Amino acid sequence: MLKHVLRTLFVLCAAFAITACSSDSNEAPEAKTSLKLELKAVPENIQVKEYKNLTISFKELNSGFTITQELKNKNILQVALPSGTYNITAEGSIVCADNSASVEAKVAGVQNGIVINGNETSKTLDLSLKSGNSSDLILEEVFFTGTKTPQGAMYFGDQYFKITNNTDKTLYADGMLLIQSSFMTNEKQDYSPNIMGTALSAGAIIRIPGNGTMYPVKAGESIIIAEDAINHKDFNPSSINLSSANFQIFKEDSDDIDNPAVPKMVNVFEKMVIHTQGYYAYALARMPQGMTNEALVAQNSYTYTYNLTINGDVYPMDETAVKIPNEWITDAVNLSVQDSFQWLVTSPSLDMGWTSVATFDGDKSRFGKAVRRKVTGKTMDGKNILKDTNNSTTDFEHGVKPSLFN
Amino acid sequence: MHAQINDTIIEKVREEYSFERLIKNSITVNPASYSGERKYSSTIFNVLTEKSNTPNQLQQKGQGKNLWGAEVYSLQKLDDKTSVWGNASYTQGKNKQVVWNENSDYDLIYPYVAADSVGGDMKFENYSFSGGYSRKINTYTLGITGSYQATLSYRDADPRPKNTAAHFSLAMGADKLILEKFRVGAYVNAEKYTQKHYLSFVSNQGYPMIYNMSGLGNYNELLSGKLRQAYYEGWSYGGGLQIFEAGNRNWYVNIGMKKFNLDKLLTEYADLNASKINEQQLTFSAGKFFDSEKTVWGISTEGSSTERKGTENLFLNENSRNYIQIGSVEKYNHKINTIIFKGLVQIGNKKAKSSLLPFFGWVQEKEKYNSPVSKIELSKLMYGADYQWLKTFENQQILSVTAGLSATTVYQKDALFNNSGKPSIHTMLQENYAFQSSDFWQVKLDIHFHFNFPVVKNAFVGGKMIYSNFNNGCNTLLAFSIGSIF
Repeated sequence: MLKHVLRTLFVLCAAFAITACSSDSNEAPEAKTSLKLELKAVPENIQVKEYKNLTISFKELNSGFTITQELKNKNILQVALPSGTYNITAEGSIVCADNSASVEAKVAGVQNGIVINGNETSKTLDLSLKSGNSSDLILEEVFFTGTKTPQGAMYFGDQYFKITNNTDKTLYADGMLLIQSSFMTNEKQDYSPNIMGTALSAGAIIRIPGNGTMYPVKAGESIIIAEDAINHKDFNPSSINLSSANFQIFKEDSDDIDNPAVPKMVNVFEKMVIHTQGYYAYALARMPQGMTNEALVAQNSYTYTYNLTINGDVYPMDETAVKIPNEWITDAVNLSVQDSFQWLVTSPSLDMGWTSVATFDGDKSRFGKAVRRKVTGKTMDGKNILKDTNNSTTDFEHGVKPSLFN
Repeated sequence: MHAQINDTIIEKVREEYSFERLIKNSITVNPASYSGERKYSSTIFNVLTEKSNTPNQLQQKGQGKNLWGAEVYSLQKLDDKTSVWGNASYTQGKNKQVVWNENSDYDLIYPYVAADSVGGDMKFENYSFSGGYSRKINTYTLGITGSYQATLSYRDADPRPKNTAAHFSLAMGADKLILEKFRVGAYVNAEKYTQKHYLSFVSNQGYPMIYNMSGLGNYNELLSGKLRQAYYEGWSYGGGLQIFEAGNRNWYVNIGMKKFNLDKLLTEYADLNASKINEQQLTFSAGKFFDSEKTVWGISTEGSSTERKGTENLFLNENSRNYIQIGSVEKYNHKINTIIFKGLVQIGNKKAKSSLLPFFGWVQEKEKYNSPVSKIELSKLMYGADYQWLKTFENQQILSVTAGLSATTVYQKDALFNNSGKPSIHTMLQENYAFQSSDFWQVKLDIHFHFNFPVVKNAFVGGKMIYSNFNNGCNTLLAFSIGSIF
């Protein structure tokens, strides 16, 4: 009997060992999708002579997998990628025909949330002409979150925009538009018409007053546009004194606070209400010579439509905004909340990235923090040189102490 | 008559501590074969407390436990043919310094846990109830058993997880006496597992990043940061066959298999399925024992082969209120093969019995994540021996002393981790791997003393100590229990 049992035991051990080894072979390989990506300069009327060189970066949003590909002298990329949802960015240069001469131009394109799955798929990525280094005023700092009182209550009105002359010559702030986007970076919808390749859809516009030479900004210097230009410390010891701001935002018919000593921004379109979480993009723009506020609104207003889906029910929506042509815009910054970002609401030629203060919706640690452009060096006379590569992700420090709190 | 009862108590105690019974325990997985494990009806009640420090442990399982609990177990042979048994227990305590895991039942749901670098002590309460019934009908024995276990785990400081888990199982089996010599049995079982996970924060000062982990330090970036709720739901099915000597179970062979599937659902997003686990386990055990009048000796073996596969779903977050599944990919794989051989030599008489249980085992473990490639491969040998001295004194006092010495040698190890992730995750992986790949030796001592008080009959006190020495320090466990067996 013992012999019999030992034999059974031996057979069982052998069977077990075989099972243990054989299970090595059945691992599933990761599915890959063959992607054909066409990169195309927009608008259509650009005559591209040559796509010189392009760097295309892919980031898969579930796994964080990233890969970068280079293209030379062609605009079609063939690449095998693990299935997933991708953010795709492209940067590079093209040669295009301009009145019989050829000029080289920088281009950039961004597309977020692109699903790449199946055996093979084709996608197109629009490339917009990138504006060169700004020779005009830029947004150095946006303090949009407000503060908290010592008792823990939210306090608003002390938000501000710091606009800086990052060039080496004196510029005039007169007539500069400060624009808040109509779309939000945390709410992606299929807006129609899609004008993003050529214009920014503005939800609120204010303008710096002046006749052209009233408000000079010297090289390296800044101006402050305050939500309310008062000493906020009188109401909240944790806030700041904005009574010496250069301009104040004043909303007529709104019982807004007015400091008579500080010039008011001119309201051009709608009321600018600064969102304390930062879900909008802000831009600076110059209107063509001679254009009035009224003409701007009259000539550029448009209605966009989209379908809002709530709990499976679809509601057709329409709203009015003002188109600001991309070539008028001297600087733009997309703001968002880290957990809620959906898309860029400007053309990637204006801003290829986004910056933030809050980590999640309603993040209470956001109060008293700002986004501020990085400093890359100093001028001969000790002024900061600010980083401006038209990519807010890399140009800005996020969640930093606002400069006026120092 | 009085002497007879006392003799029976002594036999019950001797049976309780019998190494031979504990080795043959694997047969009782079939509820039809359950009651044959013991000759005597017995009821054991005990209250216990335990304190352990385990700096050498997976960080997801914590650095030790403080707990106390109470347990009652009873097997009653109602007549020659019918047996009933049951078990009820309650334990509560805390799991110390659990990090990178905000869930309970890590071993069941891994690798798909909610995780952060902050963690902290996790309090828990466990309730469990089980019961069974078996009956002989001619040459057949039929059995059925069921159990229910509920676990609540939570933390009072940020981050504040609250996990409610429930485990329900049912098994049925039969065996048949053949040629009056041996029994052939078969059983099936099914289990249902659920865990409801909810995480909250009270502090206004922000919160740590919450990762939706997917194995070996990798995580889903799209789902990390914001998710606060999850629901785990799983089923397992299994069954097995067995054959054993009918009288004293002097030889036995057991084989079994089990399949386990578990889904992780995101309740904040209409029960979106985030990931799936598919596990398959094969087990076997066999043994042969020889009983002469003064000596019992035997050999036994136990083995298992487990493969756990993890499939993640991929998403598109079209807007912040909505995730759409765009695909799924099997990325995680964990295989564990174990085999252990045990010997038994038992000598002595009714007054003093000595048992020696030498053992030798082998474990092979391969844990892998496909992309980015991450893996841990370990091969271990373990060997050692337990020795038990069971002494019966006058006045029905019984002393059981068990001492054990064992060593585990990791003779082959290899690891590869994805370096591009967060530094804190990388540190966790390295520290876990240092523990997993460390050789260690262990000593243990377990003493139980049974005595009679005028009021409390058949009482016992027990104490247990385990010391494990790893390359980077040691783990300790101290436990104390009092109770009664009758």
